[in-house]
Amino acid sequence: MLTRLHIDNFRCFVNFEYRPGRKQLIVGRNGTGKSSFMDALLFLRSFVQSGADAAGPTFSFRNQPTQWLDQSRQVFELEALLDGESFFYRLDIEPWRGQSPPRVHSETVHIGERPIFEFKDGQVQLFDGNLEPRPSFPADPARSALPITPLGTDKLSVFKLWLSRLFCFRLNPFAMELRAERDDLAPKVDLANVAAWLSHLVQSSPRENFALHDSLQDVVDKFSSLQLESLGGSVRILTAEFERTPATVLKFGFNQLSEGQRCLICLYIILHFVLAKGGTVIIDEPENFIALREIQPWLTAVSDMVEEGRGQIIVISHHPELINQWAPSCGVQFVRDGMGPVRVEPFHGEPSSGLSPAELVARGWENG
Amino acid sequence: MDRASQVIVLAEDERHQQFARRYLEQLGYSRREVRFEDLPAGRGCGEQWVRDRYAKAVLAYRWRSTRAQTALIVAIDSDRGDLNRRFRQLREALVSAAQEPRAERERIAHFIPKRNIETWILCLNGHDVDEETDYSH
Repeated sequence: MLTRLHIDNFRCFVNFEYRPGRKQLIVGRNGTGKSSFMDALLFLRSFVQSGADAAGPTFSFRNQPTQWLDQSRQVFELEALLDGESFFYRLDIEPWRGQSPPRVHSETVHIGERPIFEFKDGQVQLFDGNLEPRPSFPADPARSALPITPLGTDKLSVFKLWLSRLFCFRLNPFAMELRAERDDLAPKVDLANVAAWLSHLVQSSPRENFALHDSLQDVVDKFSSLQLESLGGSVRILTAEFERTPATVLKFGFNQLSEGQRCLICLYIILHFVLAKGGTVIIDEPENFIALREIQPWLTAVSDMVEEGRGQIIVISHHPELINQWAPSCGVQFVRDGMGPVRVEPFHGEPSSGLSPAELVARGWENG
Repeated sequence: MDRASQVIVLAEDERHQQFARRYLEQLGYSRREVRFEDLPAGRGCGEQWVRDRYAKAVLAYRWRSTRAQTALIVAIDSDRGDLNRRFRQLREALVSAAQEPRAERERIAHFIPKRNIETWILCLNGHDVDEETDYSH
């Protein structure tokens, strides 16, 4: 699980420290960096996962340095507790400076104090099980060097696999595509590729697919099943079947479902295929488009799963339902003084006020 | 009694909610059939929060019970071991709101551990516990 995130010189984050729990709700006023927090993780994840060029269009809008600083470096640090060991990843990157494109100054992975990967001055250094350095090799400083290291059974692969299962979501039902022309190993942030991702998931995790259907039959009225129907070749479309009578079903394309139904199905896909398998999920406003009646059952399902020791979830939300259920036990707030840097504080609920947590937030009294 | 179609849970904190939730799960209730009321804004005054909301929760239960098989679970610690005091406080909360006392036939369950809910959780997990020791930490 993600145990620490440090960001320096990225948008409103200056020496920003955050130590999330296994289940966490982030609240905060507008402009306190909640979405930027997710963008930082998206930047890191895609930079390290895809090996894309830091100067490429994907990143140019994401790795913006803090406007009021004049620092030549941006630093991102991740710590994760994996198989009982503490992994520490550090990326020190030189952002765009005029016409000079970004370049990696250094990139390292440690377990405790032991280095297992170093990338500096264009040279990659790996270490064997006895911490002895292996022969170094050159790599392009415009990109992360982690993707070019081989995936195996070594410790570095443990970290890379975990990072590949750290997913950020900002669901957008209007972007969700009906068609799958291939299997996607990873979801897009808005789940535009839900059909292609699900196609991969149902094949790789059939047991979780049964659990998904059980849940959906419970929460979506008359829901029967999700199907990936072949259109010939490798093209398939995602459909949902609903019981009309005990003997007949109605079939709808995924795009014919309501926005709320699409988002609800996606939330349960995330629950069963990511959280249940020990993944880390960061999700921005999961309640968007969801009927009030359906939010709490999903929250309860998530809580049950986390309580059973499966997965980690960090939710960003303004919704009273989430705040009233999660803020007292696992809420943190992002706070900013004026246009200064963001810091994290525990949610300051004051039970003697007699107000619900959401009402405290709504009145702006959450800071006492 | 017939099975309730929905169970409302008024609890003093998340741990009490989880206890009620797992209990109801054992009885075959799905997550969608259980509705948790809001929790208090912080730790420490949960029992006061529950007592303050108890009469409203009972009123809502009684209104709904005329239309559907509903149940209400109130989960609150006794803290200092005086169960009668807690029962009396809840009864008085109804009197203050000009409501009838809880009747035998009503589906209103009080989950009141003599000390803390953790005692019950540990007990159900097979630990040897007593109702005098504080296991909340």
